[in-house]
Amino acid sequence: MPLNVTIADDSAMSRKGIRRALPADWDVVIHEACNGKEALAAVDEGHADVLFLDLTMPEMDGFEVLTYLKNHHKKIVVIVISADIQPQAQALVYQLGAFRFLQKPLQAGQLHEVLHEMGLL
Amino acid sequence: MTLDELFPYVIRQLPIGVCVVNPEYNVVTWNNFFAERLNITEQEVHGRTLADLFPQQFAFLKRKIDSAFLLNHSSFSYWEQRPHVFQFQSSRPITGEETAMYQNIELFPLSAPEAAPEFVCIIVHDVTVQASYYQELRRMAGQLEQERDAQKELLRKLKETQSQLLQSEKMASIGQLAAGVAHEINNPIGYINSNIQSLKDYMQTYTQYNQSLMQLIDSTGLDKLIAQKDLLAEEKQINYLNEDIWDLINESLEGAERVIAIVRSLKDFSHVDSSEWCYADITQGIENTLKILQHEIKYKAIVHRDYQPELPLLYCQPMQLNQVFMNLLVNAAQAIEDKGDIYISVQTPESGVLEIKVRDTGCGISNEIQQKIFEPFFTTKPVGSGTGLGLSLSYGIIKQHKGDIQVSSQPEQGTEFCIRLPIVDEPTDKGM
Amino acid sequence: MSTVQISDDQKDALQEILNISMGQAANSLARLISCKITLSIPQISQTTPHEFSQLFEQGETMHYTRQSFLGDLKGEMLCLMDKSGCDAFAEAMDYSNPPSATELQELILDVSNVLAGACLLGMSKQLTLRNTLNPPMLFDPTLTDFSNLKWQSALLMEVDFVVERANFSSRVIICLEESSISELIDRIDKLLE
Repeated sequence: MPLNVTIADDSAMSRKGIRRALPADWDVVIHEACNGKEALAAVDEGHADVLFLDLTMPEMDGFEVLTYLKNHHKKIVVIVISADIQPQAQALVYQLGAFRFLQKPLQAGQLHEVLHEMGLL
Repeated sequence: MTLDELFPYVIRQLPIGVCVVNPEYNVVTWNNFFAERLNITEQEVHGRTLADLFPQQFAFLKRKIDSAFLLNHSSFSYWEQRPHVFQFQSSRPITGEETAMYQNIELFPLSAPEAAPEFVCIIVHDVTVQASYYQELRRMAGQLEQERDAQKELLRKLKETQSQLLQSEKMASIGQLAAGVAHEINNPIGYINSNIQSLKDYMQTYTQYNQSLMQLIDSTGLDKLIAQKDLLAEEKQINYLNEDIWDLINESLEGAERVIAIVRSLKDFSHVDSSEWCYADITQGIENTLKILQHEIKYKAIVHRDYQPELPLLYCQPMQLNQVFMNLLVNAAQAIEDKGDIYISVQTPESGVLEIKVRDTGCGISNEIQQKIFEPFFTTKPVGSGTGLGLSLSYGIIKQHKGDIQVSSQPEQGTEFCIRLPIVDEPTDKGM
Repeated sequence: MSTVQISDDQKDALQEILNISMGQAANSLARLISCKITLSIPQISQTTPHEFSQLFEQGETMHYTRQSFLGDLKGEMLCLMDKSGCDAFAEAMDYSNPPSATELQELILDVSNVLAGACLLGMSKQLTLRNTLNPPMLFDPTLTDFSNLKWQSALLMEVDFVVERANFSSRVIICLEESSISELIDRIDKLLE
């Protein structure tokens, strides 16, 4: 059965970029969310076995999504892909239970490496 | 000369400082700008540390260099905030007023494309000329601003003075009007008064004559005639008329006298500029003033007089002193918001000195204002309603009498003005 | 007013590019002061001189700097800094507390240089543009006659940086000349292809 993957980012270009960077042969169903609230809705609908999460978003930002997931003990694989690359932001993201932090602009090679490491490929 | 040979030559000769350092703060090279000023050649300086070369400025340079390496872009320093990072002499040691060079500094990282920076280049611009020009400009701008402020203040004072002059002119014309009116009333009220006086005399004779006539009728013993007389008197209410006539006449006389007194006071006051010196009774002047101000005072304050009996006459300018009393009494009345008291005392506390005190129970004057009240054009009243000249004029008048005027006041308690005048004889050279 | 129309896709792309450069700017600053910086979502708007003048309505409560840039894109970077947070910020940057007037000026110029530099260079790099940034200068909008500006339209790209620990906030605005807007859009279109 294919995995459910949600890409949460307020930028259409960024979502497209992540889509393109995913391995072509990866057996997944891709869903999209434009802000934190939509991301959580996708989680509730079971659309997010893996969640690619941006940090700076309207309505509800990535930090709030992570906090919510942590407080509600959701077992979701979260890979943060963000432009906010401050060491403090990265540390906070890991504290809140994200699996990986990837820097924007996203490099496809890096993403594949991470997916391999985590046994998702 | 090839391009590769040309560039180091150009850099050496550039009129700006060029110094390249590595991440350990060692100088890799510098150009003549540095070499000539420090007497250390390009070859000699290679490998020496900035800490060693510029011990005092090292902390600052280090911070700037670190920032350029870390962030991989330029970092700046300006003469406005740090005029002399490198302690170089002014570039115009003979003709310039400044001794040290003003500098703008730029530090930019040097790196191969897409690589971390290997060196930082420090560029020093000598901006002494611009800096002193700018400072001079700023000094002049400051001066101009000061002058402009002074002019503004002057203009404000001028405007104020103008409005006050207008005000005093208005006052003067009101005075003239009052004098005119007084003069016009003076004649009619004069004959009204004397006519009523005559009427009173005539009436006295007339009543005597009438009484005698009645007695004469009574003495005839003709009952019919007497009864007729009594009936007639009753019909005409003669007894009542006999009483009321005197009330009417006396009241009219009193009224006329009051009008005469006011007219006289008005006339006195319309001559405020009269500066004739003569012997005068000060209390008389105060009373005259009170009469003029009756209207302004009577609804606000009860006037308490304390005049020492048998005061000596004072050789003075009575009209001018009246002006002073007027100012003090008007101020006293205005200081009282609702109802209060005004105490006036005239005494000779020691021989040769006449002391006049005017005290009110009004709003008082704060300390800082007390300092200013005798200054010309100082007023606490809204512009246009007070001249700001009253007290300064009073001060001048008192000084002209070789006297002294002082104020003591407690906010919310009241104010007392105390005038001390020397009792002097008429100077002999003046002659009467 | 002649304007270059920007489509939603182009705007979205520009926003994302800015997001990435501002992230780099924040990272630069965060490393300098060891504090976390919160970033806003970039705002992109075309502006008239009148609208532009309204940016300075906060007047005396802010410090302002300007820094011009040349190259493939031409324009100016503006940096608005809240005066009230500057003292705490100065402390985070090892200045004396409270900083002297000249120290404060130096700090303001340094911070705006770091932010503006990272923002512009980040954007240029992603769009493969070449730009040089001139030194920042303090700017006093009260001395500027905004009714006399010589342009009709400019593109503004704004981001807020907030250092919560120091209660410091600043806004960086990239102001692009009208002639540079089409150049920028060309590059974005290439990226979107």
